[in-house]
Amino acid sequence: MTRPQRERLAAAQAELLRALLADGAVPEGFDPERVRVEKRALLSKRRGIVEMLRPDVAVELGERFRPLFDAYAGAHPKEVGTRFREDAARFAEWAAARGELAPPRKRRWWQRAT
Amino acid sequence: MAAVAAATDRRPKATKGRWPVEKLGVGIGWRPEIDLTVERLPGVDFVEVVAENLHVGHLPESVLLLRERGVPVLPHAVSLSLGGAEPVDAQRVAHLGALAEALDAPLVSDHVCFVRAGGLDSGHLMPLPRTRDALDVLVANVKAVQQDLPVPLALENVAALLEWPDGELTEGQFLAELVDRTDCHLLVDVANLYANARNLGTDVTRFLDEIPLERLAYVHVAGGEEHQGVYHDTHAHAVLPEVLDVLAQLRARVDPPGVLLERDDDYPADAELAAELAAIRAVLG
Amino acid sequence: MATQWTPTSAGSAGSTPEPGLEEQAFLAGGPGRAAEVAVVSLVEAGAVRISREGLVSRVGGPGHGWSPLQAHVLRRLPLPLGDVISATASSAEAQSLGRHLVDRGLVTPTLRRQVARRTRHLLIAAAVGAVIASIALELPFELPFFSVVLAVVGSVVLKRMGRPLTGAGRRVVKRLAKVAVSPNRLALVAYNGLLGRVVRNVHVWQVLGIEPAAVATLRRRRRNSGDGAGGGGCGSCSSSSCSSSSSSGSSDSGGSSCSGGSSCGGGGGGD
Repeated sequence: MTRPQRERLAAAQAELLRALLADGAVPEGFDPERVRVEKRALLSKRRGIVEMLRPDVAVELGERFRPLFDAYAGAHPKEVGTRFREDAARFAEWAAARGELAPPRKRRWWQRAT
Repeated sequence: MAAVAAATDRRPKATKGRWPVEKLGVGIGWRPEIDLTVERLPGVDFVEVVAENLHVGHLPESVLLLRERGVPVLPHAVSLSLGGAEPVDAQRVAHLGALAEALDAPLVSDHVCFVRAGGLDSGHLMPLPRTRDALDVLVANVKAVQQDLPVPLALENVAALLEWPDGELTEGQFLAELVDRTDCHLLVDVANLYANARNLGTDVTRFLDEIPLERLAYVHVAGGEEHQGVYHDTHAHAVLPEVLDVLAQLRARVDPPGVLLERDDDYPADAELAAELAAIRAVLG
Repeated sequence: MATQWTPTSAGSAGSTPEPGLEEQAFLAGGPGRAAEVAVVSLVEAGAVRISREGLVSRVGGPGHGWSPLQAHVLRRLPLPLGDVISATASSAEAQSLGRHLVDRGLVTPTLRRQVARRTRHLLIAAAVGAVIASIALELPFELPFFSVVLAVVGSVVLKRMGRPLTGAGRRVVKRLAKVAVSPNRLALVAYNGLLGRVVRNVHVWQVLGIEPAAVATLRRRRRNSGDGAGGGGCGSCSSSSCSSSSSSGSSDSGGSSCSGGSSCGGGGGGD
């Protein structure tokens, strides 16, 4: 019943999300400045959620957290079905693979603290 | 859960009548971080929970406690993507419905937006193009969801940072037609309305003129901040007086059944939240 | 609400100031206890809140003027109470607090404790060897007798030398014990720990008004002792709360529990 409308809408919405979340071009008719603001807001929201879910990662990366996460997010737009917790875990793996984050290891020293 | 339902007065289920929603009063969004605060704040008449964050089988103790006290708990969904091009995910609808029944909620809500498209998840409430195409799809999705929900559905206006080209309707007309065609209720977020007025030039008066206020279920109030000339609806900052002004404009037209304060991050001291609720009450008079 | 406990009975030395409450807590119950004091003092100051289910989150902005341990807590939020305590107990800040206490002469240096323990073991082994040898070789009765006497006396002396706290450290804990009564909420936590008891059937967490579900996040950590319970109880670490300094569930989870036999494990953080 709404098939043609759905198809047109699907194409338009997908094009906008590609521009906002990945490296897609700004769709025709949109204000590029507005798209840039929205893109930054979405990235900031995603970064904030990952920071909240994995404060350990954010603390360890310190100043590097933000640029690293932004680089990760641009290359790995959040796909349908990916939970934020998985997104955060993947970022940690990605950062560890690049040598930015110490891989998880057993630490014993602190337990011996007197 | 049955025990909770039995322990509280069974309120009549809202139906698709003309004035469908009982008086809710003033409320606040229940969040895990501030559960005790919400329980202790004076004069919280109802609360809202984010549907996606709860499991029907393991409802938080605090939420059950509020239900036992007779405080209405309204599930608020953020992920149905009702304005998305794909049919709505039946599992998400089933979860929302099950939650409504477990909480004995008079109604549930989500947003006039899309969340997912083309395999990507924006993680946010994205505005819809205000076209006939988009409205047709939204109406079809909402009608399908209403079939599967045990309680009425209210739909909320979102805050947008960008505008789709070639809009055929104003936001108010778009919502009015949505209500007309689906018989849904409205959840008017005055902070979102303010944000759109600030960022996109939406005419607040015209918006309030155009929407069917008699279908108003309740109102959202939230805080935000301006960043580089753009107002961001953060839910992490204090409520601006300008947002309360929009609430006052709405109040001048209708006595809303309920008004709910949303705070989702950077939670302030209990006293500060109490003061924001008091400010809302003062506007309602 | 008071956030700083002012010592009413200053140390007998007079010259050195009484250590802060986090330090006293560390002496009484190890880094986990110090972490508990850091968290509770932030709650008392209105800087964090603990939810019914134990989620600890910040109230308002980051603020300033916090101790290094408190600042660590604030950086890690939001986290469940048990995780905050274990993450803070395992932090570099907690380690540094431990080293500081060694420097102040309140905690026995690790090396000394290890030497004392090993010497004691050697002494006992030598005495046992002497007894066996004297029986096997039918040596005169005096040799095993005196070696056993020597071993017993030496063992007692070495055990005292190898105690986690120095005499001064133990005196600090004794003074803390005297002020750890109900109105002194932070001193109560420092001395008894959140899971400790004020009186029979009344726990410290109950006095503080922390919800049972929140406290369960501390106990849950303790039960998961496979990845490290019983971090660093020192001194009067008799209450179960010592064990809340176990590892956090996340990537910084730690190794085994203390195996040293004494309530204080092997001792000595990074020094």
